[in-house]
Amino acid sequence: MKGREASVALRIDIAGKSSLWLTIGGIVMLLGIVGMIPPQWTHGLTPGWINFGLDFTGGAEFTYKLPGKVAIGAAAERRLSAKIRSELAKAGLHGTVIQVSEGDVISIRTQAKDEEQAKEHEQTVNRVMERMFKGVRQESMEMIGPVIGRELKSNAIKATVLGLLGILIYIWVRYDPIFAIAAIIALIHDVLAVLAFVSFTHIMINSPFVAVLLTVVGYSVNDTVIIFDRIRENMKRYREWTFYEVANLSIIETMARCINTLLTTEFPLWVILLFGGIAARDFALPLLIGITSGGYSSIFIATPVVIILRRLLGKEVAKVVRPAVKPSATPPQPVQAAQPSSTPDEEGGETAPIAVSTSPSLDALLTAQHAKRRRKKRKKRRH
Amino acid sequence: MPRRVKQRLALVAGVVLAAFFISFRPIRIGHVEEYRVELTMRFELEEPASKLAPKGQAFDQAVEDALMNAKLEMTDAELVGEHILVVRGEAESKGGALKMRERILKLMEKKFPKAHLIEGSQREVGMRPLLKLGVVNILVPKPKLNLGLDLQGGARVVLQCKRAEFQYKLAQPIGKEPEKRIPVRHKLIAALREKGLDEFELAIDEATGQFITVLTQAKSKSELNRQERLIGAALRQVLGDVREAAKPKLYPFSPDVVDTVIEIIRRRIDRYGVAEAQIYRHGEDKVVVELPGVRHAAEAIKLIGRTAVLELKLVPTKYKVSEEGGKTVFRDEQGKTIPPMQVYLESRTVITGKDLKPPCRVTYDEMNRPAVAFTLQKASSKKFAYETGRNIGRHLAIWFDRECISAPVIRDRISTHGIITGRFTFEEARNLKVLLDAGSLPVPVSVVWNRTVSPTLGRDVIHKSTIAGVLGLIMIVVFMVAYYRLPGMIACIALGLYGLLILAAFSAPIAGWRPTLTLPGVIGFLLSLGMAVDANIIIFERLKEELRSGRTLHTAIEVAFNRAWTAILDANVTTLIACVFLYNFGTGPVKGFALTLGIGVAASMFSAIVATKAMLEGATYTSAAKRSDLFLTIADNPRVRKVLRLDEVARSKS
Repeated sequence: MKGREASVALRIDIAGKSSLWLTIGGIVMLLGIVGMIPPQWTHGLTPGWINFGLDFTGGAEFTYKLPGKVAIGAAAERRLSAKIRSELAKAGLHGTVIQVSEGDVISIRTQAKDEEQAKEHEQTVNRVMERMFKGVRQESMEMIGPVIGRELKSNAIKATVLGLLGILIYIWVRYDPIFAIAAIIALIHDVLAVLAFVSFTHIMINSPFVAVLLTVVGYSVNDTVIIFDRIRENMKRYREWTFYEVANLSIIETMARCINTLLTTEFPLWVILLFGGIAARDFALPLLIGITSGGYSSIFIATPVVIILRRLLGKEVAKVVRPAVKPSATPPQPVQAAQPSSTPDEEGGETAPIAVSTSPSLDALLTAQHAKRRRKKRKKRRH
Repeated sequence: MPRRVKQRLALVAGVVLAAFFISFRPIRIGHVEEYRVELTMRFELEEPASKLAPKGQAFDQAVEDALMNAKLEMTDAELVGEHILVVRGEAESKGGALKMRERILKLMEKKFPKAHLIEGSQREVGMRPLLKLGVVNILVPKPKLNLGLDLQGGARVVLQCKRAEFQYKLAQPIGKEPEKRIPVRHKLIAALREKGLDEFELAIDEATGQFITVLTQAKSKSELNRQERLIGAALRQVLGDVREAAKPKLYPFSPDVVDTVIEIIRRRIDRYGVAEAQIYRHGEDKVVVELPGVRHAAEAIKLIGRTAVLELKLVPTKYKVSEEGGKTVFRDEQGKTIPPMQVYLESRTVITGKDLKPPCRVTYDEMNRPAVAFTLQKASSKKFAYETGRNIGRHLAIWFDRECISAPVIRDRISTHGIITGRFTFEEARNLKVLLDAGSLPVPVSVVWNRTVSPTLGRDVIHKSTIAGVLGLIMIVVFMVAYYRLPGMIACIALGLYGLLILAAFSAPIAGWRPTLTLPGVIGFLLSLGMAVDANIIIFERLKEELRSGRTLHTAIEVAFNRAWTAILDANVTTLIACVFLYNFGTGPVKGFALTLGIGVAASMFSAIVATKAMLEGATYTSAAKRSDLFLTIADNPRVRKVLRLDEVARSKS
């Protein structure tokens, strides 16, 4: 394979396993698409579209808090919601959606179409809840008429489509088409990953979900841009390398920062998941999934896609003849036109420890400093 | 230290100070309101206030007297509707307010045992300067944030102005029992939807169940005609014999109409007494009303959404009027009961609420029942005098929102002053007065979105997000300092500056408008904390590489910031684009999220780039610069490399 020796020089070959990364990404994307298929088309084999919340369906929702935790664990919560549903049906209220969370928060959604109907439902629900649980407290009520529901839905779609379009245009303007296409594929991957997650877990989606999607996309592009920037820079620096090698080097060089930015961005989200309460959790969980996916896609999808596209378009710079020399601090010297490819140079690989080990000058500096401190300590001990 | 670095550090310090002054406002010039604590206690009454009140006195008056007798000065009591009593008080300090609360509670328990405290709140008003130098007041620093409804509780109602009205009469009344009306109503709504009508409101009159009113959003005459055919067909399909009771009516609609609606609702709310209510237009024909902190919103919403049209109409002579069981009943010559709506439609209007000269007054009629006294405007009084003079002995029915309040006999010629009687309680009379004074809405409105959140839920959310925020921050700080060492520590200081900038952005009123902090906004802020250090990570990783390639500390810092700059800009622009669209199309909480994230990204550009660079450069002129390992990541420390055997791993791989 072309450029093998440079990868050996780099010791870690991420770009070489492109097909593996892309397969993983492809599976995630496929799950996202499968999640979108309505279950009636597949006889219930697919999880079924998205669990749209009140904002999009319209209707009324009443939230109650119980004085103590009554249902612990998912099974108990399911049992309790089934019981409440049957009690409500007995009281003449059919087609309710009930969610029990944290053992003591119960939200009941009905299909009220207007304020008057919402009030009728509120009375019925209040009556049933007070009979079932002593000391129950109503925490909130919300009624969304069909007019608003439709408005929220259309605004959500507008925000998502226009937001994506705006980001796409920006990428297109700032990068050449190949990079832009790769970034867009990475971005589609992240959107589908979030959709796969919400459709398989049945997390309820309300209008803040649009914010989740666009934030994820913004972050994913953010991460991709870091790698692409480095690739552009390295392409200028190592002109005689193949693109494949430059890309691999860039991934490795930026790996630490990708992981670290991912970590710091996710720290607050992890804490919200643990301590933030149910309302925050429904928002933070898809966000966490999306941001993780954004981190994955920028390293393991965007870059391999660029490599493949460039290979398809024959835009590969000719192979290395001489292994890359560690560039000096001065700007890279202009490189002569690449020479025709020859057989790989065996020993070339070993002499180019570019990314992993530190440069001699620095190592020397550090060792010297340590030696100095050690000498000082020894001196102290002697005294 | 060169001048350039000093200047940059001074700039950062200046921004810190400015942000501090904006968000905490420790110095105010001019007159400041005197400090006091306002106490609000809401009591629920077991029985209607009119029943609990002593003879000849309104209930709230009685409570006020009792408070006065107990030497509780600076207090007042007010009834809101029939079952809620609000007691307000003012104290000079928090302790004083607490004592006052105890005393009021004891007094209420003793004198009015049927009133139960359901909610009590304290609000600090004004300021207590630490130091006063002429017009300059120095205060204890305290930020003031504008919390959204999901964080502080309250109600948010969206009303839609209706544009057209259709009225129908059934041959067979459905009956006045709700059990009969509700299923029919559901069936009708479904039928209308099936016919393709949307954005409508359907009501069946409560008195007889014989009249059906449909409100729609028809925008033109042709649409009105189309809807007329459609509604007629749908009603006939469900109910059989249906006739139009009145010609379809198209309300005049313009932006001015919505402004008038907003103005009238504002007046009603002011009189109802909700502090810090916000009313604004939403879209073309909707009005948003936000009532923060209100717990029992249903009553307020009822008051806000009423059309409040008062009409005085002459009852046609063919109908006989009698009072039966506290209700006005109309009969024809054969003694058959006639639905009030039919009488309403057949009788002629003499004057309307528009002819009144506010304010009205609550008084008592000759039977000592509460009533509302009104004065007519000059032009209308002539007409009224003429009509009443000509029709002595006939019944003049008083209709409020098409409901018959009463139908007294005209005994004399009346010109300017009159009273509206009805079997009111004192509170009903006062609510009527509020509505009449505020004026009637030019168009009917309907509630299309109503969200009511209890304050406890909001407090819980704030509590939880504070814990999450603090822990998230600790994790970030620990990670940054452990991994990036000295620059990491500087990044954390910059993060503190970032927090201050956000606080300033959220407490500075921009042209009278202050951004609102919502739950997604809080999450957006926490997320932006993590993203704010992202830029620093990019820079520090770059710095490490530049140091490795043998540059001196100064040039390495310069190069690292310059090279990382474009990547950071690109990355942030995409997030900003997302925020712009979210803010534009989002509602309420989503807007809050977009706002915090957007402000956060902008502020992080300053804190992560300008401030960090200045501080890092400053650090190179201190003794820390002698230890360049402090500027490298933990992964570069020879000892860490040795312990983790990083070099060996690297070597063995090759």
